[in-house]
Amino acid sequence: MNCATSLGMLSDYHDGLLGEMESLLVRQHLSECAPCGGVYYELEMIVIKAGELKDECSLTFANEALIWQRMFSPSSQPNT
Amino acid sequence: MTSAENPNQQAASETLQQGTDYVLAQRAAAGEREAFEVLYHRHFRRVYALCLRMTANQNEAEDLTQEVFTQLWRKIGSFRGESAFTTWLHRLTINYVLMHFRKRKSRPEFTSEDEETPEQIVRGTENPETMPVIDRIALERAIAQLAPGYRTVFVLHDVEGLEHEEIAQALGISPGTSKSQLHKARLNLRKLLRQQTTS
Repeated sequence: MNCATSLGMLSDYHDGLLGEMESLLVRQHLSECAPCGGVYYELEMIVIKAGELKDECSLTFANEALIWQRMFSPSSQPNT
Repeated sequence: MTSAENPNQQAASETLQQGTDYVLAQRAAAGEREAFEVLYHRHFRRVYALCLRMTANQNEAEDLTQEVFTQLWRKIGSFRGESAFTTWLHRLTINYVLMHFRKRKSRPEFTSEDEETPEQIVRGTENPETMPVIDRIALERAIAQLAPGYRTVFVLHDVEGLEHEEIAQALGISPGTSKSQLHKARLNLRKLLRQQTTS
């Protein structure tokens, strides 16, 4: 397997979506090719960190109380 | 008058705070706004975070969050407790954001064009000094910079944990397109994170 083919399959490989033979070929290539191995490592880190965002996000949040007030203000009464 | 001014009201408020989502949803469905307010504060951050990640726009995310909870207030009676409330609300939020994209005709574009060549991707790894240390803030920033189509699929799959079949159904694309967009999103994120590291 060459680098281009391997790189095109990295996400599916990571997510376990490849067949047994394709998966074996990608794994073999990654063990032999340091640059592709590096890309795979970085993609793996991105996926791991992304999974952590759902519960421990570092976003700046909007004003919760203000949005609540807006919801029930006379001009945007939900029940009307 | 606040609940703190009256011991009975304070006790009632504490009971509400301890209520399960299901019980609160039932009470909210019966018109009890205080129960709904507890649910609102309990789930606000999750809903807002999802809206913000999908739109990458704070004003839009605020408006959408308000609209999602307004919809929730109207529809909460249809929650039967067959799934966890968080799952149900999560789905309601995703559907609402996608409907918003369709309404304003800003549906994320899904292309089959790959902007990066594999050679470019490999070449970057030859310098180990530029390997990014990924922290959450950097990743959030990079996600916001993704093209809308990539961002939507990435957020739904890698952050929110949806399967390709679910994403495909929600977005009206094929599962293959969803997989392809996800792969390109990850590669683009890698590039954006590297740019952050070197800048």
